[in-house]
Amino acid sequence: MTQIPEALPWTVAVVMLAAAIVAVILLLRTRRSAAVARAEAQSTAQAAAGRFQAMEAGLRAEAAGLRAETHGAGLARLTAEEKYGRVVKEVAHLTEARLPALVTHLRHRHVPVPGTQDPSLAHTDVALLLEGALNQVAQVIVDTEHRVDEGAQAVLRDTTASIQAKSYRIQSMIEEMQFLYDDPKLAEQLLKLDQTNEENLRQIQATGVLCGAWPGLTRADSHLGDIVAGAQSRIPGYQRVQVTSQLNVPVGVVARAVEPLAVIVAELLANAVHHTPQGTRAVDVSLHQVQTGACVLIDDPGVGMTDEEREFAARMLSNQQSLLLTHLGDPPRAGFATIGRLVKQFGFTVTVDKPSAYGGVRAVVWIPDHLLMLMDEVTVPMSAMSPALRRPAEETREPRERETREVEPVHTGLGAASGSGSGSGSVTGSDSDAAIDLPRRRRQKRTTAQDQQQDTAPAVSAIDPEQAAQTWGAWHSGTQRGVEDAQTSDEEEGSQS
Amino acid sequence: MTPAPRRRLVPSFLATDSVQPTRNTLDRLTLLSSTGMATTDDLTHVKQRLIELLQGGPLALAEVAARLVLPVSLVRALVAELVDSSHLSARAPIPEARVHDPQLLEAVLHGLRSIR
Repeated sequence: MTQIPEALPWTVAVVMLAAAIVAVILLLRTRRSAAVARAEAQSTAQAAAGRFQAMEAGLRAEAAGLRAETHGAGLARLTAEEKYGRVVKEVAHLTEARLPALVTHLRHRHVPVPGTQDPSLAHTDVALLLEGALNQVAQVIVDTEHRVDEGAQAVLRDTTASIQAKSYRIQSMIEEMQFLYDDPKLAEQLLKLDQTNEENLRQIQATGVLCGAWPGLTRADSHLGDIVAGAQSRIPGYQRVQVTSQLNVPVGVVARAVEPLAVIVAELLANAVHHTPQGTRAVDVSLHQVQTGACVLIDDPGVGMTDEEREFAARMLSNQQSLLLTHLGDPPRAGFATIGRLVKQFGFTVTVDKPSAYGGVRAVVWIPDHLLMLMDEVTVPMSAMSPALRRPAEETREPRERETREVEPVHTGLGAASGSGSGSGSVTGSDSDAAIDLPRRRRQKRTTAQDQQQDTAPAVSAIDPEQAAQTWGAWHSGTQRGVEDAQTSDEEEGSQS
Repeated sequence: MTPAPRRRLVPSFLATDSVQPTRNTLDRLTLLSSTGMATTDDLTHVKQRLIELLQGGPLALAEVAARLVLPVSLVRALVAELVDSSHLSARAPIPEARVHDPQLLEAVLHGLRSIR
């Protein structure tokens, strides 16, 4: 570095001097040619115009020559000491203004990095070398930032994984207790415990995913409704979410995409509920089937997003470049970044750029066809808390019901009693009403008015008095015979001894 | 590959906000039956499902809980609310009272005495 201030200006000065000489020669030549043209074209008007043009060209050339002189020869005319002083000043400018500006620029892109301070040094080797130094510093800063961030992410991944596993164990324990104990007070506590653990689990899991971990749980193929209901249960304020299903068939999601989808929907719901004030309309979630897959629509009546937030969300959701935790801000806005990670890995599409019908945000999760499947409702029934399918009345159900009615003529008194108590008309009405046709229990036949008239003596007919008398009689006579036998053998023993 | 054990996806607390039943007359064996009142959309999914389940005939509370895969404590609270809104009727499982035939009873008594 010590040689630069001395050697470099000199080299530059020589180059500039050469350039100036060339410029002067050119200028003289042009002047001569202009004089010739002046002599030749004196009579005609055309010549006058030509002369004017030539004069103009000459003047322009002169001006250019002068400019070259002042610019190029500026450094050349300086003494070595002056040059040294200028370069020192420039280096001072680098350390005092340009380097700090660069550091700020790397954090906030809108902050510009100033160029060289001394115009006489612009585009010289000094400037280029200083630029190179700046670039190297920038590279070091960026590399270090990435390395530190990766280290932090690795630590977080590791920690969240173990906490997540423990939370799942707590979840199992709570669930076991819920099924063991009926006491309302205990159940209330368990309920709260379960909710809190579920919220914990979501945050831990999302943090892990943000840092590049997998969602941490493999599930079996699951109903889309179950996944959304599951996601709903993971957020605080889940009561302010209303899920409806527009699906006609039991649409399911293949095993590998179940947990990622639940995480995505949970994050979006958390956002929606967070921005929806209490006491206003609930967050609307609806499930739809579309030509190329299925959609989960989340409409919130909240405050909506600013352009800046929208832009940030779109950037995080597309997630092209590697993610740095330091870019998420403080407090970190991790939700969209987490979703972005999963979207990239599993091929979902998430958009939040449309306003909802209620003034808030409409988030749409699109699940491609290859991640969907049709579920078997008999082997894997949908949870009772999930939204029921909206499908037309099924024709196959009625004949089957009639069949069982013929096969099982058994009538319990309880069934008949409830039927007569509730009024037969309404029961028959609900019989035909199969708008929400969930799997039904078929142990007992449905009670209709007609059946009641047919069976006037229920329950009692189950035990036949004749048969009962026979059974008891046989038992009695058998016992009596046994007693008699025992008595006779006792007597025999008594006579022998 | 063996399928992974199924971890619940939808927790039971989603069914209700409170597990404090509004009445203390319900136990595991309480018999529930639908009153035939139509379900409306303002009922939660689980309540609609519960009423739906009972349209096929009466069931014990424990049985309802098993079919919905929910803890009994939770179903009890749900059922209490539905009984309050007269969607369901609940009663203890008392067998139907009948006048027994005195002759039969005498015959049984006689038979039992003669066993001795």
